[in-house]
Amino acid sequence: MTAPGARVRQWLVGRRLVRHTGWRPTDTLVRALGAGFALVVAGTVLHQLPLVLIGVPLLVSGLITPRPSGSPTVTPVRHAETVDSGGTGTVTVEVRPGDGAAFTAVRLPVTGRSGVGPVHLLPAAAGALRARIRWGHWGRSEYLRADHLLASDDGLFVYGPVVGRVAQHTVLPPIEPLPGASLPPRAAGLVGAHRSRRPGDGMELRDIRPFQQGDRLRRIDWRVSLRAAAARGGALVPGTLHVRERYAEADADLVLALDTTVDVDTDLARWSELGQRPDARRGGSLDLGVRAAASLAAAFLRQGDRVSYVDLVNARLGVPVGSGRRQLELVRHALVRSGERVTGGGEPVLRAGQVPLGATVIVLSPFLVDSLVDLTARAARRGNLVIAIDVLPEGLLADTATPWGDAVRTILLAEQRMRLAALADQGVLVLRRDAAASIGLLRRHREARRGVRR
Amino acid sequence: MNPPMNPPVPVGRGVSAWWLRVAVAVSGAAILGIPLLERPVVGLAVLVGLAVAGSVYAPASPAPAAAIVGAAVTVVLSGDDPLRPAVLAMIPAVHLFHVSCGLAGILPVHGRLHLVALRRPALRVLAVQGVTFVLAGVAAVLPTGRVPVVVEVFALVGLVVIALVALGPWREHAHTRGDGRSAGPGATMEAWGEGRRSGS
Repeated sequence: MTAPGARVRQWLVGRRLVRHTGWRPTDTLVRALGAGFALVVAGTVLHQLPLVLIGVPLLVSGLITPRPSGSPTVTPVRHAETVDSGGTGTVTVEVRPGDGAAFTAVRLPVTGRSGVGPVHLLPAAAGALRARIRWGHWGRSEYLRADHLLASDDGLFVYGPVVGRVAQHTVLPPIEPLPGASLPPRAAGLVGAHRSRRPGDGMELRDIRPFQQGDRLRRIDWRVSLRAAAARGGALVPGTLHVRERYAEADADLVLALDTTVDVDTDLARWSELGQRPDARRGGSLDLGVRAAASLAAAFLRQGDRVSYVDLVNARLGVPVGSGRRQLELVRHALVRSGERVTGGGEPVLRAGQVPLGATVIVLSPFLVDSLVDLTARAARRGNLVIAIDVLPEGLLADTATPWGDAVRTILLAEQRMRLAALADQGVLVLRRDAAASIGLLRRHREARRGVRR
Repeated sequence: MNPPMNPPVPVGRGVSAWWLRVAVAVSGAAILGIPLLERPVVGLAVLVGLAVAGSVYAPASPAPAAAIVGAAVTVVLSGDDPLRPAVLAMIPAVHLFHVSCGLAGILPVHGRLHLVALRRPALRVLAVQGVTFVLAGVAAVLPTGRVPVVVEVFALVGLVVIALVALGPWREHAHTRGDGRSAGPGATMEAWGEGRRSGS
């Protein structure tokens, strides 16, 4: 037998629980029954028909609405965990509203936008709700959180609000089409997409020369050899045999080095907020760098080059050199991870071991610190072709909250110009962030440097 | 057994939930203005006006009830004929105010309202208004004058029965939760309105 104290405690717990779980009455029901009943009683007692007539609709609407039953469920359908920035897709949630529900209020994305979206008020019906969504800014993001609340007629009873499970996905950086350009070849593999300067087994003719010891017989050019023999009286004697020499075909390596020490946008007043955001600033230096890196990786991997990625601050986030479509996905995932770990600190490092011999190095940075200049110049001194891409956003805005805002901006830009000039003096090709235009200059720069390097 | 699932429904953009607040404001202006057209009762009108403003700001609060009761008292004080046009106009106006407050209370102000969701409440309002106006028609043809005591007693007994029926929804039931996740003490209507993470 239960003690009276325990029963009271149980009753109190039940009272508290019923306010938060299951179907429960709302202020609207209290108003419908309470105000409606009060008006009808007052009208009856006081013989005031207007009070009765005003109270009747409220009372009737409250009395004809049964308490809903059942346990509604709103279940999100699983979607791909990796999507491409700028693309579109659909998200789906399955709703089982239970008996007596009239409205489903559920948080869903708005068509054509990204993010979890606002709450939509829809009629309650068992079935799936489907919303089109645009995959927005690259990075890890929430795309669906089906918070939901179900309500009976006139909102007299509600179930919820229930916090939905968060669905996250990785939006990969977009790939902007870039014109192809040749990289310096490097005889790293037996085959490759580039013509090497060395003789080898490629397709392109390099020379026709007399046969030497060690030459393969299948390389003999019989037409030239017979012509040479005819010139010497028709006998195929030593010195008349000639072979066709071809160029070797080799791989080319590209190292994409991203500066993740800072992420700055055009508003100088907000630079101090660095590290307070989990994602990259839209249009900021990191955003520009990541987009350029993804596009460059795609362009060079597409033409068969080998690409690696180096996070200059978090070395563990790098991707070793590789080729093919899978390598592009690895690089894009690594770029997303790098974008999540910008803290405004750390010393940028580019070790010699991270750069294959003869590889082209592209450093993407706003070049706001001298250490990046030293790092880039050291890479150039090691004999690599180094390209520095400046990803500082254009049109910096001075901090208007301080009288020194304009002066700070001027000094900052002047210092950055000096750093870029110093890099150019070290033989580094300095380009603006417009990678599409920049990439076409690779060949010209390589040819200009060819005499120096080889 | 689970009910059959309907085909997937594409969710469009809908309209801004602010329109529900506009509906509350318009119907509130009606219940405030109709009695004033007959005979201005300034003090009560100010109170009703404040309650209507409070209803627009917080529709899921006691403010709409105060507005409704205040408006009903105002209309009683504004004239003598119980079935004059102002009273007949107040009946649907108060009902619409009540319903629009009810719907605005379940949708955050930055939410999206899909007009198809209003079809069922519209039909329901029409049905209830039909019942009410039938009642008003019956009242109009009944003889006026002193009401017999027996009728008064029957009316009061009927009200008690209605009160007992009306108390039914407050009976407490333990319900299981939908997907096993608690709405939790933090999952309040306020948190719902703000779209914040809440609960466990």
